[in-house]
Amino acid sequence: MFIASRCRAISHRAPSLIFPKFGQKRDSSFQSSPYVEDLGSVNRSYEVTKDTTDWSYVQRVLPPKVVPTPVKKDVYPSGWRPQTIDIADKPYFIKRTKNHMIPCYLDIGQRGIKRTTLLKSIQGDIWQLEKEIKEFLQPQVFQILRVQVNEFVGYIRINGDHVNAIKYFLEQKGY
Amino acid sequence: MLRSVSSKLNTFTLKRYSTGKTLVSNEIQAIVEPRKLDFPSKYQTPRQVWLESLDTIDERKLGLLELHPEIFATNPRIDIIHQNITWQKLYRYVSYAHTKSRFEVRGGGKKPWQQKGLGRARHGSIRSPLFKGGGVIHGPKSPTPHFYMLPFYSRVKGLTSALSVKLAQDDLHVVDSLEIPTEESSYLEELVKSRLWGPSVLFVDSTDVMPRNITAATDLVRHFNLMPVYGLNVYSMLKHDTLVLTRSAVDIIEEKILYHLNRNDTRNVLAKYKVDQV
Amino acid sequence: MSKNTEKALNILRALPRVCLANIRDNPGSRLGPKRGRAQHGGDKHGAGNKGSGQRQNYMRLGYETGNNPFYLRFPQENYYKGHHLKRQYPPLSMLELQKLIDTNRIDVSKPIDLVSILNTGLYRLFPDQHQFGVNLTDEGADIFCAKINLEVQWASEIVIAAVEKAGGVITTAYYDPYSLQAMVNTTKFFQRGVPIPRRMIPPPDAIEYYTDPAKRGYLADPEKVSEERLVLAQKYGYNLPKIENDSEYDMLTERKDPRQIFYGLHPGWVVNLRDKIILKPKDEELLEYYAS
Repeated sequence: MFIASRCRAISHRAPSLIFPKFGQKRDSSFQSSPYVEDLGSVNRSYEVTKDTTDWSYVQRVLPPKVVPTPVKKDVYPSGWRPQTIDIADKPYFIKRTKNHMIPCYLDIGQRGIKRTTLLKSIQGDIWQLEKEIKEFLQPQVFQILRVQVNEFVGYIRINGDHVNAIKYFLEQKGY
Repeated sequence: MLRSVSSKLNTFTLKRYSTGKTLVSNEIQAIVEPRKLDFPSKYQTPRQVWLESLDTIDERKLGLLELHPEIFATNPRIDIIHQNITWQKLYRYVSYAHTKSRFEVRGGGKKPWQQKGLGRARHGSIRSPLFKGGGVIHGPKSPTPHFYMLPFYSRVKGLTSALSVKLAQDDLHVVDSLEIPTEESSYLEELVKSRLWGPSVLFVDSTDVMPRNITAATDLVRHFNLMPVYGLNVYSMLKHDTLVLTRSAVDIIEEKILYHLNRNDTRNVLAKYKVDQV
Repeated sequence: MSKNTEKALNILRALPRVCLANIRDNPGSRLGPKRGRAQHGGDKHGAGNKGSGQRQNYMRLGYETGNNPFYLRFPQENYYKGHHLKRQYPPLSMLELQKLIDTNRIDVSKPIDLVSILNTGLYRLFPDQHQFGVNLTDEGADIFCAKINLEVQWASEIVIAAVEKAGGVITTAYYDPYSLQAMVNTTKFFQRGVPIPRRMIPPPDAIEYYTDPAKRGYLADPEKVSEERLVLAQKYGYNLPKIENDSEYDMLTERKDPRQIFYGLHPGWVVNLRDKIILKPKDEELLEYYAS
């Protein structure tokens, strides 16, 4: 510790270094700001407050720990819709992500040539859902749809970019 | 993994999860508080498990508790469990195997014989890999770490899958606390035997300071192990046949895992793991 | 419901106990190490015959066998002059902002500033890469309808008109990089135990923007700003809602001091998160400095 401070005394420091009298001094380089040991004991008077109004401002500034749950409204101008389905008699169920979005994604492979639509988090009768998606999608699309169903994990993969179509299809059903 | 079980399905009667009635009197029902589940699942029913006690050797059911289905009834991903176990074994493994390369083997600095004129093959060093006693090419070099980090949510999924597997196979028990009447390890051995718990049992509590009696009882018995909840891991859960959780441990596990499944700042955990990160 | 999971868990009840000895990864998920042996993988190991390819003695990247290479032909290009000094404002569209409001990520009952946008976790800012704040773009300006008190760093005329048409208030404000580092990760900043800094005034080439009432600059004259509000309403043809009669008038007119970074927290304060207390300076010098 002693050796280190000796070395610093010899180092290139601004000769007319006046320690800043107050507050923070933002210096342009690491070498031009003084070391904490050289400042000596700094006694600044301060008060400690546990004011609840001030603390409410601090809490406003801190991020939430958990994703907030959406509030029910009549209209959502952005086009996002919450899940409104009643699961009682439905053959399948698609769980929303923790961000309350439909779990339908676009996978791009082979340097941008290959596009695949992936629909995840499917519970229940996945074959029924596959049939309904094919019935909905195939008439709209020229390409022949190749669908991969993984029953155990619960996802459906379709060739091509049909993310928006499938999201629309599911939103109509209330998922 | 899931081989042909049709023959077994015919002979076994598969028990379905159902909301059975409590077999305890109304007085005791009042003492056992029902568990409140955070982030309730819309489509899966909560799992119910008996709250047992370690006070007596005979089983004594104190009441029914509900467990969150997203943790205790998820898809049993055996491949993710396997990945977790491989990761647990490998990430702190350092291989100390070492072979000498041609530069490390003693000798071989001098050209053994002249380049031309002798009719022999040309060589620059007697320790080249071509020679007997020469160095090894691409051999193991000590120390070689095998550190890697499994993605965060693979590890979370591993924990939930393992807990689901344990509950599904009737190897998960919830007790009110780890208090036992004596220090004798024979008490625990008799208890485990009579209740048909597996030979090896892992007791998990919320704190790392356990009651004195159980600490003494499990001290010399190597197949009964105590663990605080922060040490819960997939390898230990599968290594021990039975998993016994205290009620407070279940609360902490659910709280932590549900936080990770619903957190707002997943970027921090999904980012590449830096060894010097805080 | 959830037949797959229930099915799998019920099958497990009939199977032997899952233990360390009877589990494996999905078949085909892991490729073994590839050894360079036999006809198609071995022999010359894809390195060809003779030459720099087989002897791993390649020319340096960009070398064009002697003639002046492409990467040395042009000493400089005018188009990138000063790029390292330019301020960047990563975009956030009005559609995205509306989605954040719809999904309750942002609390509309309080003023929205850069900190509340960053706290959603869905908009990222990197001040050390010359990024100075939010540039609110006009994608979704036609469907935007939320009455908010918004503070961004850059906004075009259409955006300002869209926000004001919905009954809200928009301001453009400047934050210097040191303040931005505090705002990007507030938890980490408070944990440092450093007093909240004063916000610096904009640099010379940005002062014109932030004193312009047409851009709703935070340094502009408020009366001129109200004039400009009327001008925009007439230009784009909508009735300018009267904020004075609004029930949320107080919230909509809540503004920060030009030296303030966070709402309600003054520069010079030190926040202790663990003990939940705030340390405020009492020295006259310090108070004078932080108030200036």
